[in-house]
Amino acid sequence: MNIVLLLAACPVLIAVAALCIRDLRWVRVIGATGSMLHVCAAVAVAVPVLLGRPQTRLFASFQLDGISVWFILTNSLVFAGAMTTAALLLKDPAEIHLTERSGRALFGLSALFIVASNAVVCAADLGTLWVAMEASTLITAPIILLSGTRKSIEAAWKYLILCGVGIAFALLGTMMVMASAQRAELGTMSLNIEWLRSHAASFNGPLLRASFVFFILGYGTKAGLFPVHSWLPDAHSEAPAPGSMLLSGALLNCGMVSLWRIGGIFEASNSGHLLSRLLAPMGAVTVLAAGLMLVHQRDLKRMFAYSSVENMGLLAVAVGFRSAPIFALHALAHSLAKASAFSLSGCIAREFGTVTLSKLSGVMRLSPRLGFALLGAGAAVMGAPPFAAFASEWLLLARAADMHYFAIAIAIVIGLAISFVAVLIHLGRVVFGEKPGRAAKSRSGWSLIPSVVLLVAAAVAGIVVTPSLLASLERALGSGGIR
Amino acid sequence: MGIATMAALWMLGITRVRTMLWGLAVLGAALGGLPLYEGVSRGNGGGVLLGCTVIAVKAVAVPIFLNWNACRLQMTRDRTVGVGPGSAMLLGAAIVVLCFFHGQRFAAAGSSAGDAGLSIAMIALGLTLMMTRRLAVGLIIGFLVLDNGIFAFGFTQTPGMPLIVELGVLFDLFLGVLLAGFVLFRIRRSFEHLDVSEMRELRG
Repeated sequence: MNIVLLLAACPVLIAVAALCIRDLRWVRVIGATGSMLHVCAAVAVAVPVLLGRPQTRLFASFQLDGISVWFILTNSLVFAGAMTTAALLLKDPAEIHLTERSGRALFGLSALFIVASNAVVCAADLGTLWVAMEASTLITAPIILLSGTRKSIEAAWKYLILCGVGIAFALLGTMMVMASAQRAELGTMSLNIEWLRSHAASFNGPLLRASFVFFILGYGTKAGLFPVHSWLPDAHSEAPAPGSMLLSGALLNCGMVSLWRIGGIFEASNSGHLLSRLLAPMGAVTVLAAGLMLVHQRDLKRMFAYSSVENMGLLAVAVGFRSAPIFALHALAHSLAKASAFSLSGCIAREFGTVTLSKLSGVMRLSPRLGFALLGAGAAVMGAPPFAAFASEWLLLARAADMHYFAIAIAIVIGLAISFVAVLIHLGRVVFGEKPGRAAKSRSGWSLIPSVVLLVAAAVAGIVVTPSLLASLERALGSGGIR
Repeated sequence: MGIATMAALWMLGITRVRTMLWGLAVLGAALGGLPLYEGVSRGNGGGVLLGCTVIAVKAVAVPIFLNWNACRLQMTRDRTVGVGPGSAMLLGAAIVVLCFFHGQRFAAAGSSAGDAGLSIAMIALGLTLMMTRRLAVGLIIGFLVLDNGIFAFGFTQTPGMPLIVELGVLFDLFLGVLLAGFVLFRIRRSFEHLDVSEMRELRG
């Protein structure tokens, strides 16, 4: 229990420090150490639950089950990566177009955001889930605004309006689930996910199905699924690099975890076919569409953002198939790889002064370390071996074929192939291109560390995956609320 | 419920920002009246508290804040995109009639089908408002109408969320509007206009 409190206390302390201490140097030190402490606390919380100790019920409407501790762990790794990146990049805030003040705000808001996203993954009832989700939206909007350019304002505005409407639809979905309960159950009615699961079979079918559509629209907007993804590339490309790491590595996962929890309710109801007939095809279409949109990208960060859309599509397919290990593994793989990629985009923006693909060239010549790291990050993002995304994508395809969803499998393969080639060509030009770059001296030594550590973690996670480990992972993730 | 839907419909047909905010206030007051009336007639303290908070936030705080914003930013008139105010109002009326007669599809067991239909109509009206307005304030107002529709649906069709969740929702809404107002200032400062349909720097 005390360790769980530490999970909330570390970020809050960072936020208070960012608010009170005027000297950015101290804020950087506190942010980095606090986030490391947060990782330790997350490990201490997660390991007992994953090893099968009985799940802990936290106060009020929070719970710790397999899925929630797994995502707390993922969140905290991304958070630590983002905070150390911020600490290293913000040595001179002006280099990445921030002021002292907005630098401090970046630390404070990121810390508050991680509290909200931990609350999302721990939420035990749909109401709390919604409130935590809305809180995470409201906290991240100012992060996008930090650089204060016209583009960033437009991105933040788009984000607020689209995600605001999306999340309003999710609230409508929540209310429709409640309205679909039969009269006899009203006395004991609650929004608790476990309660809903056990009673879902007797709910009013049409209303429950309507609520699923609103949930997909609502939380799918936050996760960035295809027709409602349009805020995502703007927000990811305009936020400062540590902010993009958090958006891509933690915020999108929150949307997917919400869909996973809701999927659990629908699996137990009479409308379980909606998952594989509606959510999984939507995920496959997302993969395909994102692959096509990756082809003509002009901006490094937008390219990585579209690759996030693609990975969210893969996760949606995993949720549609209700496969906990694939879902968890791919979410971890994507978060680590993408956090590393966005961290590198921060280094590039600092050294080259731009992230426009046509102006970037010959990174390998100017700074071999940065070039190699960028290639590694590209491989990890696209799911090349030995990184974990390779294993999870392979498992997902095998699963789709096992379940005879060949159309989905084919769409995923085509989407992945297109995006692999597209990212390879874009990154190849950036890394090996001949055009003389405009950067002067290479300063990337220390600031590469977070991204390299994240990449190594992604590779290790990919190497250790074995069938027996997957089986035990499935047991561990099922130890909690959703079996 | 009827008053609230009529207010939403009325707002589709007007373009003066201040009048729209009056409509929003009437809408909020009518919605807050629902739990307040029920709370008073059943002697339920939670309902009274909720009703008062809803009126305070939705009918007083939010419109006043937006009005203050609109005055500072000198916005008096909003223009429409695509359809004019008259046809938007006709469209809205069609939506209301359609939803009212198909309300039983969305109604919970033992609740009024008319209320369900009107709430869904209010959500659709909010969306229409968002789609047909040019200025950023119009979008925010449309969003608030949509949100009110969802609140109405929740209140009339469900046994009620836990009070604490409802209050959390209201608080989030209030914060969201504050934040959106803040973003409005930033838009104004760097774009020198508030026309959302002219914002097109991000492409690809």
